[in-house]
Parts: sequence; C-alpha cells; structure tokens
Amino acid sequence: MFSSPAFLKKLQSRNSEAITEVVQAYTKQLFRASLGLGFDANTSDELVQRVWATFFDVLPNFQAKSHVRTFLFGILYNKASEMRRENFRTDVADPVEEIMDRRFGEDGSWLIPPLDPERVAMAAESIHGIEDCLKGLSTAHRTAFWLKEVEELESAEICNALHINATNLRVVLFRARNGLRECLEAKALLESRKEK
Amino acid sequence: MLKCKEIARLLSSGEDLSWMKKAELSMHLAMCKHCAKYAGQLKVITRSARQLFKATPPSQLNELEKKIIRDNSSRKNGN
Repeated sequence: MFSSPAFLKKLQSRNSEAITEVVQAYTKQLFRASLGLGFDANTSDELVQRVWATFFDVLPNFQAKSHVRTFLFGILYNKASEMRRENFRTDVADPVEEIMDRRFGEDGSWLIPPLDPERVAMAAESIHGIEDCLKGLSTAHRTAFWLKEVEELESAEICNALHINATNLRVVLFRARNGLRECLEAKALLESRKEK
Repeated sequence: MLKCKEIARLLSSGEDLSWMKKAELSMHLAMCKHCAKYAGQLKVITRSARQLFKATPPSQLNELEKKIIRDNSSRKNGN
C-alpha cells in the first residue's frame, strides 16, 4: 500500500495523514532494528529521528523502485555506519573465514566438529549471551543478519537496502552467522571449563 | 556428493538451492551428525536473536512517533 503511486504522491506533498500512517507503520520496526544493531534506547531515539529526517528530505526524488521499508532500512544502515564511522567492504579478509577453514580437513569433512546445539542454546540464553556476540559483528554484518533473521526480509530486499549484490550478501550472512556461532561456542566451552 | 564444508557454507550463506541440491542437503543432514549439529546451532541463533528483541518496545516510542510526525509536518510549512 505504501508503495502505491497515489500514496507516494500524498507523502511527497507532505499530506499529514500519509505522514502519520507511514511513521506509525515503521517507527517501531526502525527502533527495534536500531536496538538490534547495538544502540541503546536514547541513541536509537536519535538515530530513528535522523532516519526519518533524511527520508523526508530525499522523498521528492524517491522513485518507488524499492519498497518504502527497504528504503528506510537502507537509510538506517547508512546512518548507523556513519555514527560508527565504518566503511563496509566484502573484499577484505574476515578472520571467521580462516576459523571456518581450520574446522575442515582437506577432504572437506569436519576436523573440529560443532558442539551440541543445546550447549550453544544455553550460551545464547545466558545473561547477555547472544547480545554480547552480536556486538562483535560489524554494522553491515549485523544489519544483514537482523534483516534476514529477525525482520525476515527477502534477500533481494536486503541487497537493495545495503546496496550489495546477492553474492556479497551470501558472504556477509556466512560471516555473520559463523561469527555468532563461534562466539557462542567459545562461551559454552568457557562455561564448561568453569564447571570442572 | 557435497562435502561437509560445502554443506556448512550452503546452510549459513542462505543460497537459493535447486531442488536437486535441496534433496542432497536433506540427505546429507540425515546421515551426518556433525552437519546436523551445525544446522541445529544456526536455528538456535535465529531463535535467540528473535527472542532478544520481541519484548514490547519502550513506551517512549509513542512520544517519538508524535515528535517525528510533528517535525516533518511542520517542515512542510516552513516552521
């Protein structure tokens, strides 16, 4: 509905009903995503205001090639990266690739097998478990993971929001998921050492 | 035949798979306990991330929405 030409026209002419509708539809989602990206409630408040200010600034040139939601998440990602002064590149080596390589032998079978999922679940559900591990990811990895797993967006929509292609998205998701997995496994192993 | 290393990459990169690859993946997961554990870990991570933020957003959100609506409606009028 928000992508219909009639609605966009109303929005571009700053129709107050249209503004109210779109702000009420996406502010909670943007705020939650900002928390998911690791910003506290006060910073998220500020970040979401900046996202909307930018949205309304560029709205006259919005071509409706992407969904309003995709456009908003794209702005959120840019603002979050700006705040953290991060530049995203997929061509730079990520340590998790090497960690994953070491887990397999030359024949492609497991050398260092994964722990039981139950142990990882306990680590994830412990205080600050997954939250701590999410903090270890870059904004790009965290955003891609968030949009895919929590907001459950289609890959094409995430590519649009992050301005990356499908190949890069696969690399990003591989790194994000394995970064989290390795972090939670390390926590689970640490716990079991403490118990001994 | 897909190797465990390829299975791990397919599972965590979210690649769109042909029906043949999907069938191969399912068969591998049914036979390989390590890859099955790996797949289980990925499910745990998704579930935990969803649970972490499913709590009701803070009440300040209503105020935030009102402020955004006010700010962006008033800019139209040059205020």
